[in-house]
Amino acid sequence: MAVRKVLFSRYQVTVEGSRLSAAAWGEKVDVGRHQPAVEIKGATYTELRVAREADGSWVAQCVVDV
Amino acid sequence: MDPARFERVSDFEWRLPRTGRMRVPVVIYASEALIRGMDDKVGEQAVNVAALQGIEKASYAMPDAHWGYGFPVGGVAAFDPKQGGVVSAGGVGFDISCGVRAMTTGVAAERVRTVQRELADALFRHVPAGVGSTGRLRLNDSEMDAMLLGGAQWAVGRGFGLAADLERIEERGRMPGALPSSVSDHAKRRQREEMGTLGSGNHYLEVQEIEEIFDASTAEVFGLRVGEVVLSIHCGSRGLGHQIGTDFLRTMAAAAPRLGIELPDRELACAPIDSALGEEYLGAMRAAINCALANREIVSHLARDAFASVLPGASLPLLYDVSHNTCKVEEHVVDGASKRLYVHRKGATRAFGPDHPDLPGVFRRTGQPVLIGGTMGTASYILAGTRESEARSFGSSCHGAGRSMSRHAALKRWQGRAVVDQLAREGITIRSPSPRGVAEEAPGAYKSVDAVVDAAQEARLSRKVARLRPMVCVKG
Repeated sequence: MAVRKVLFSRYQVTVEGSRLSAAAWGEKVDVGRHQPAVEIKGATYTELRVAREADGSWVAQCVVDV
Repeated sequence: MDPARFERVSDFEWRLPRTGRMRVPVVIYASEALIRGMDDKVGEQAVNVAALQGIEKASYAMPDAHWGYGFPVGGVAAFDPKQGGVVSAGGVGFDISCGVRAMTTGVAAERVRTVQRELADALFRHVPAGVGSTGRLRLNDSEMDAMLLGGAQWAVGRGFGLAADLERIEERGRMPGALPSSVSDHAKRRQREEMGTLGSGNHYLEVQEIEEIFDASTAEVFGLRVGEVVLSIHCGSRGLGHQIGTDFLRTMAAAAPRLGIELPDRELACAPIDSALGEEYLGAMRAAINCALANREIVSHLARDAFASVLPGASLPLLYDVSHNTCKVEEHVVDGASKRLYVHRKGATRAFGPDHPDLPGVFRRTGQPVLIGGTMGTASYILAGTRESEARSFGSSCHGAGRSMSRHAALKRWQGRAVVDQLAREGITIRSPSPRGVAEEAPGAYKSVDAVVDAAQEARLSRKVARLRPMVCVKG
């Protein structure tokens, strides 16, 4: 967001073997409408987890510093 | 944490003796109540830091400690390169050189109250704040590098701020040893439009009334009088610092096996000070320090313009500018010998006492100012460094009380508009582009800074000089 002033909200992710490719759609930041409150400082390794849930779906997470 | 886990050295000093992989003990400065209020990870992380190679004396935690990335926030740890000491991006933090500066005004709070809303509006107009806001400066490649090398000195040279400010900034406004070439292009791109901006989250610009003086002679040296107003700025190295933190946390963690470093926690990611990676990080970190110092100098310039537009004739001399996320090379005495150590202070402020050679002459008798921010609705403090802090914490003190609840929980409890209205009823004028940001920063979401400051004083790390009450608060 800091570099291109864009916020993303729609994602299409494909995983083939160990390769992930994705497309993200978004729009230019409109402070009045989007009211972004915090900026991301960076992703961290805290609570980093990539795992398959019981229902077969995948989850990828980490704590983000804001 | 349960105080029974610790050895009680005194009411305000708690110790975990060396066991297992610890090379030094853990020392936590806090009251018993503060210890109880600390999350368990503080002890855990302080113990992990105590196991790092080359650590000297102790792994310290300040009264406001809470869990962080690898190192606890409120952690202090010094390393000797001659003993294979390490430097850690996690020991500095993402917001490299986040810090506070305070400017005295000589203006009476009574007078400010008559123009309080206009002053709030002027500051809000002049100083870009909040996510997505941009600064007026666009630095090309060579100007970017000049800024990263020159810090606040560069800013003054470009017409922002005053030459007289420089001796009132740590390192006289310019951190030597910066390596702009160690800063990634992505970090520089993140910074391109952010020079002279306040940021968001817990960053702010405040006009504060001096409410109480605790040490009259020191207050006089600092230029503080009850009933007068001070202007404080809290912000850091913006996107550039954050990106450097991200870049090196990743690089250091990946390099650990190759460098023969066994990490109990990947977030502790570090490199030997005497290694190419260590030198690269230090060079980039010093560049980020310069970026923060330049940024605060520019924001001060804008704030001074805004202040003068509402209160003509007011001059705002800089009292001091302190940073609380850094790694600095300092001489310290350990076991009777003087050693050159790399001192990490993460969410901890340098607090050099009287007669310290690194301080400007004006502070020789008093020690340096230590600026402690509170929340939008509560007190902030100005303290002074003590002689005893040298032996007790490598000359370090706390930086401000941490959160008592998550941003998510705060959002559920408070509405930005209601918080603004409530604070207005208490005489505090808030200006922010984000009601959500205000709710997340609601005073109730933070711990008591009074308890933290009292503990720092009881632990003899710093002593109270003045308490400040917010009047105007601009936040992102």
